[in-house]
Amino acid sequence: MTDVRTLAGTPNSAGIINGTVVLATSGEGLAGESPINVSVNYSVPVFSGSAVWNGSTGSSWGTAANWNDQLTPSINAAPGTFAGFSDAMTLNDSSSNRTITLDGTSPPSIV
Amino acid sequence: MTFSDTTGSGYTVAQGSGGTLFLDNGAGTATVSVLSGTHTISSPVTLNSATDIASNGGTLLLNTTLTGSGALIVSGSGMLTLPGADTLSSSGGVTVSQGTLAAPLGIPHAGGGVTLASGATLVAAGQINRAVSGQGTLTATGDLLSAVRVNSASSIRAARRALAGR
Repeated sequence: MTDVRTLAGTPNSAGIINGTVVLATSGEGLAGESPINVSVNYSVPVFSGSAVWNGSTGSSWGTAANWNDQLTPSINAAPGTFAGFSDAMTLNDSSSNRTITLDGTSPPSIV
Repeated sequence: MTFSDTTGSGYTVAQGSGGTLFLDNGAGTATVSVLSGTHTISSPVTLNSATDIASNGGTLLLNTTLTGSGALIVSGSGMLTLPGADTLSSSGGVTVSQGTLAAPLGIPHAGGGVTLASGATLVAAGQINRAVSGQGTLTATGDLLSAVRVNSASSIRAARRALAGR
């Protein structure tokens, strides 16, 4: 049996947030059977709002994989593309000249 | 927004197939910091909030048009150049708090005034259609269409001058 559950909430810090939720059965199984609890691990990447370009030349701004979170590089997110947030970005040392194209992306809030 | 490159390379932010770069920090000030290297912004740029462009060791080429209503602040010890007559098309005021703002084709678009802090310089070879004031230095060789009141050390060789101050 498979099912989909939604984990809702607002993270209060950036980075990789790991945790576990326990799914408990009720009203199922045989008479006298104890509820079956199933632990499910989750891992949520939370963008800090500050990104560093890691893409090659000619790549698009809006491609998340072209950016690393400045605090947690394993998180990829395109700055300025999240409504309601003001993001920062850094373009730093590269081995060759790089061109970043907006390609239809209009970052709304770059600081 | 930070540009930094000590390898001799540089970055260009271009429009590609479309889009606009919005600089927006709400009621705060957005910051474009140029630390090293030579970089270019050629995509359209809209100043939605006051924007401080700080050149401290690097060069930023604005091969674009600045629009919007946010103020432009020029800081840092380096020089910021507005290469085209239309580069500064935003309506907000301009404050040069440090360094030099160069406008080889002038600032013909009307808008908020230009304030030059002590030690700061505006070098313009074309028409200036904004009031210029402050303790800084103005070097102008084009028409001055609005009031000017700047440092007495300024060099002004204007064909037309709306008002010359001290």
